[in-house]
Amino acid sequence: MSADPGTEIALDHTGDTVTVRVTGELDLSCAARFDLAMSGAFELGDRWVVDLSGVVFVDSTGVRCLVRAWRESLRRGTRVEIVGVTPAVRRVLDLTGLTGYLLERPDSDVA
Amino acid sequence: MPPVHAPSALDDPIRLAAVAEAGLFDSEREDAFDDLTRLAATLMGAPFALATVVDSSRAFWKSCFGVPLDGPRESTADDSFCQHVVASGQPMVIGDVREDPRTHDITAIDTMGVRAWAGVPLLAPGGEVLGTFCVVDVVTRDWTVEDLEPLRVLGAAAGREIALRAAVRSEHDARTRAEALADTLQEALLPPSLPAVPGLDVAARFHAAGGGGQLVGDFFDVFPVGGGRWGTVIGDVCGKGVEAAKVALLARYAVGVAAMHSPECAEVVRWLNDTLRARGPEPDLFVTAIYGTFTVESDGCRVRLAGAGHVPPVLRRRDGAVELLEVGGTLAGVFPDVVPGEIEVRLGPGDALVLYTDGVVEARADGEAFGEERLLELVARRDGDAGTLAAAVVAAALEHCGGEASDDTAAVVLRMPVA
Repeated sequence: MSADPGTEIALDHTGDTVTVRVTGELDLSCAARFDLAMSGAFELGDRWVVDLSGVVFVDSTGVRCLVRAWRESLRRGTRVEIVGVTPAVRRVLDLTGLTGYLLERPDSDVA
Repeated sequence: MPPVHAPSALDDPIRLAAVAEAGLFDSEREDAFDDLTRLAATLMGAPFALATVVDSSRAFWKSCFGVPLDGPRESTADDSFCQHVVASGQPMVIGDVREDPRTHDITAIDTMGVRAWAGVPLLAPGGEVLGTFCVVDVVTRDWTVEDLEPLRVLGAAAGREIALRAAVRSEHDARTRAEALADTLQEALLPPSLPAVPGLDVAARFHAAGGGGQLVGDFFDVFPVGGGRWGTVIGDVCGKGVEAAKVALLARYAVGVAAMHSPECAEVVRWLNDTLRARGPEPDLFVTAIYGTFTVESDGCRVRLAGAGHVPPVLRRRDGAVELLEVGGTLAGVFPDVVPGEIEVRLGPGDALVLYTDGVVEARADGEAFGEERLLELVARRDGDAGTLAAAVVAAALEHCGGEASDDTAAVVLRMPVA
């Protein structure tokens, strides 16, 4: 059995919303898989959620993945919703100045 | 009087071989060169900027900012301004081309309304003069030394682009050449030694991902910006390889050029963002960076920093107290109208400022990153000169990930000596 738990990326399609759920480390090792999952999500639905609640680490490559997904979603007219932001992820988004761009909600705090 | 030319230099077979090797003649316009000419024209307030390649008979305009897409892309060599730069191998600056015996009867004076010309040699990797990197104005100009500096650095960047391609193109010994080039590039991005700053101890250390021989995406430097002030930059391109190295070069030069034109750190960072964004509509690679200026005084050093989403520097006081300086700002190259973060600190005797790239804090062992806490502890423990501190930071990150760094790791330290 491998000691490396790896990173899981799951695609969940409910109605017209597609959720990409990342568990583990969002970094170079899974960047290509994440991009692929996002491409699938963009084809499958009209609303997109990236759930990062299981992410323990994100590096600059992971940040690049999120920026790419965010940019593509805007190009398609609906901003991707990034949820489940853990403190580790939040720290990186804060440092890179992305919090205001990536986590900004069109209707803030409307449950 | 016919134009003064120097057929011997234009026809030099070694030079002509270098022109052929560069493979730029009769090629399409490309962003890599157009970025640089646009930057030159913008900086120097000129309507035209060109990167040209000259063979024995023609001057081909590889990039020609300001010339319409369906406009001319060449002249004959003996009817060109470039021939004189090729002949002499030296920069040429002419405030009024109608008054200069070398250029007064060149056709472009009538056809394009050329009045002023300033250019530097565009060099092949072997040092041969391929052509020029030049700006052209339609009014007479009193070119200043400040005008020439951007031309020099941007012309050098164009030369490095050519060198980069030469290395990448070659199939049979691509690896050897790419590694040699990586070293050349590394020196442009990561100077092997920093200048001596009177009254301040400055040092940098770098460790390349995978042990070296690859193109790097980190860059740093310390350089004078005039008036007794100094500039320092550290940055990191997200990504690796040729594209990342190109972006790193563009970023490094954009900062260097902007630093000479603005005393405001935030303005320099905004310029960096705009320059990277001007690359095109799909700038996939971004840069995080901190640019700072500092002035050394008798009892301390005043440092201003402006940030573009870069990892926060560590300020170490003489007594070992440490803090992260959250400079802030947003990573450069993606969003329009970013607001750079700004911070000002004063280094007293014995205080040190540690700037680094994310390879330090992202160094990982068994999934656990080196992180900010370990970095702070390390810096707090480590008293000593700038070189010792920079080396300790890079070594600790490398040790944390078992000696196999997956990312470039750089540290720059400014330390006020104890009087």
